[in-house]
Amino acid sequence: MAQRRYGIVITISLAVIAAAIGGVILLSSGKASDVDLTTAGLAPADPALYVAFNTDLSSSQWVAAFKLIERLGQENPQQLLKDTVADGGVDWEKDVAPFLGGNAAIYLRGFSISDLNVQGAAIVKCKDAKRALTVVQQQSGLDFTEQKYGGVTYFDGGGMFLARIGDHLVLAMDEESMREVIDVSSGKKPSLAGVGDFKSLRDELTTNFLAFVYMDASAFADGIFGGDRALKDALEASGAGDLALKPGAAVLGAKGEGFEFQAAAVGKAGDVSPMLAPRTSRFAPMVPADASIFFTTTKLAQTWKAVKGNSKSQLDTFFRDEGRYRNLDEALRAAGQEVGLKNIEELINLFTGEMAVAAWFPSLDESDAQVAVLAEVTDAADARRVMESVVASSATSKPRSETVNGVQMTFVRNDSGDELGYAFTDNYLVIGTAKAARSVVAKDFGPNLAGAAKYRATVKEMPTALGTFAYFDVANLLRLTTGGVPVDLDDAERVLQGAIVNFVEERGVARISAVITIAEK
Amino acid sequence: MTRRQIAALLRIAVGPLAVAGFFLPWAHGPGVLAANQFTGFTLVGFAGRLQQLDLSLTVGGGLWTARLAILGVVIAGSWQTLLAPMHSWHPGYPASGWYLVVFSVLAAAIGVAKSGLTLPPLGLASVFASAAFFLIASRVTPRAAGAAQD
Repeated sequence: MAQRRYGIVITISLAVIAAAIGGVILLSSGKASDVDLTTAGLAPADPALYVAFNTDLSSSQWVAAFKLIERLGQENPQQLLKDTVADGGVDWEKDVAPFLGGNAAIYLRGFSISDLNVQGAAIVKCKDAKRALTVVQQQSGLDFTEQKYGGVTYFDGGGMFLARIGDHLVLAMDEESMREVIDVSSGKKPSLAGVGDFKSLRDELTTNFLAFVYMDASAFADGIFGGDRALKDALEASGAGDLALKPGAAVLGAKGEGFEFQAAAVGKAGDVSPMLAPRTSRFAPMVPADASIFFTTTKLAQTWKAVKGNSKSQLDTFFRDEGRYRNLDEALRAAGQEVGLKNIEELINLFTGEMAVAAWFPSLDESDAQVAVLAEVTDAADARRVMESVVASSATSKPRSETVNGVQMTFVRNDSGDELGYAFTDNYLVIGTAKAARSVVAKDFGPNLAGAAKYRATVKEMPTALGTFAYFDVANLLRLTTGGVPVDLDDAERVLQGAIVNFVEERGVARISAVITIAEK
Repeated sequence: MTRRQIAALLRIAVGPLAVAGFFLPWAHGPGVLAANQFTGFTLVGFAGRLQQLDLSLTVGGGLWTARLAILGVVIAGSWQTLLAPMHSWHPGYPASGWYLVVFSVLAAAIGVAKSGLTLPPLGLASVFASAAFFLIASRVTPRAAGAAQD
């Protein structure tokens, strides 16, 4: 009886153990693992460009990439890869597999366009570095002589230098680069992996990717412009230097339903920072679900004020040099007068909150585009005055008023003969083609964009929060450019869904992120 | 050392061998995955990643079965580790032992069919050894293999 009771306790314990072990292993083994950029530990600390690739074809990134490639119409991409290599007379298992140790990279340094000089090397983490070295030696057809430097043997093929450093194969086009990598490997020189900017950018971006790019724009500018400080000075004076000349990094990856891209820079967004704040669009639920293009930004007025305040003298110089105007203010006044205002800033100053542009094509005909601009306004009376002036400047008919959904709308025909409409309601302005503006005000378009499955699926795949972004319904736009629904849409066009290009500042870092989603066939 | 003492030692070794084997190499990947060496643990993960592919119900179901079957090895190994020293009378003991035997026979058959007669990788060899030890121990002390008799 005691053993029976004891047996029940043991049985329950075994069941708990099985569930715990099973759960932990299923969860942890299926988790996407980070790509360990061991090659950065051998690259020198100051490359102009470092491009690394994930070479683990069993990783979640490659499994997802193969899946997406299949959706795009390529059957069995893994086999195609192997066959392509075999067609070139290369045996995958003997000649390619030894190179696939997890990551491979190319770095460029000492880059100069003027004398066509590039210094750099390829570094490959190998599964079998010894075999990989043999493969390169055999395939290159060169005669190599053995050299020694810093205790490391390297092979000089006359224009190609090879070395095996631990699990890594190093291939350099010049001896100086080879010796540099050897110095880095022995700790005599610092490595890229230890550079603060590199580490922080790696941490800011996803650490699981297909490809990773690190670029020191400053070093690139030196190489391209031969050390000429003119461009650097101009960029710095314009206030864009912080973003443009500081190191940046980008990753390309595959996940779930699409390919993703993300880039970040060490520099601050500066004056454009207000436009890049993470936010949820107020206007996405106010346009139709079949909007093929939707762009939203915010705080244009504040951004313009900051840019003007910090760069007025540079902008004055720019316009003076252009020759048409004496300074920025004159250019702004002239632009304003063209649209019936004293100064174009009257219009810019309206946009203190979110501003969005949406375009849709009810008949899938480009000429039947419906466009609406929506903007939050704080001073409705001033906004009405500005809009009336703008519309009147191009109107060819007397404005007519109509009440739509309890809101007074104004319609006018412009000099192209198209009817435009605008209205102010709930602290926002809507202006656009008459049909579009009326539809937004009447809210009679059925499902809205924010609730549309395609839009939501695309937003879901975004690697960052949304800031200033543009959404494209790729499937619809492809049909437009071909003039209606083509019968022979190929597989790729048939499965492309939505795309987003996004600019956002998160955790003090300015980022660009993008995604394109691919549907199941 | 008597036969029974040897059998006792073998019986105690079954669980740790199976658990260790689960985390040691089982196979090289096929085709473009030739560079990848899979352990039981990484196979479970890789099969999980493959399930993200647009697979048919049959293939998807097959992958789940394979994942659970491989997972069963480490669970059977831990049951053996816990039960072999003092609780071999519990039905979980022969159940987990025979699971290792059946799994090893099937894995060996698949291995021979795919690669011919070769030495299995270390992880799979450990699992085979654990199954063999269980069989030997249960022949010397049949009581352990037939808990139902207790």
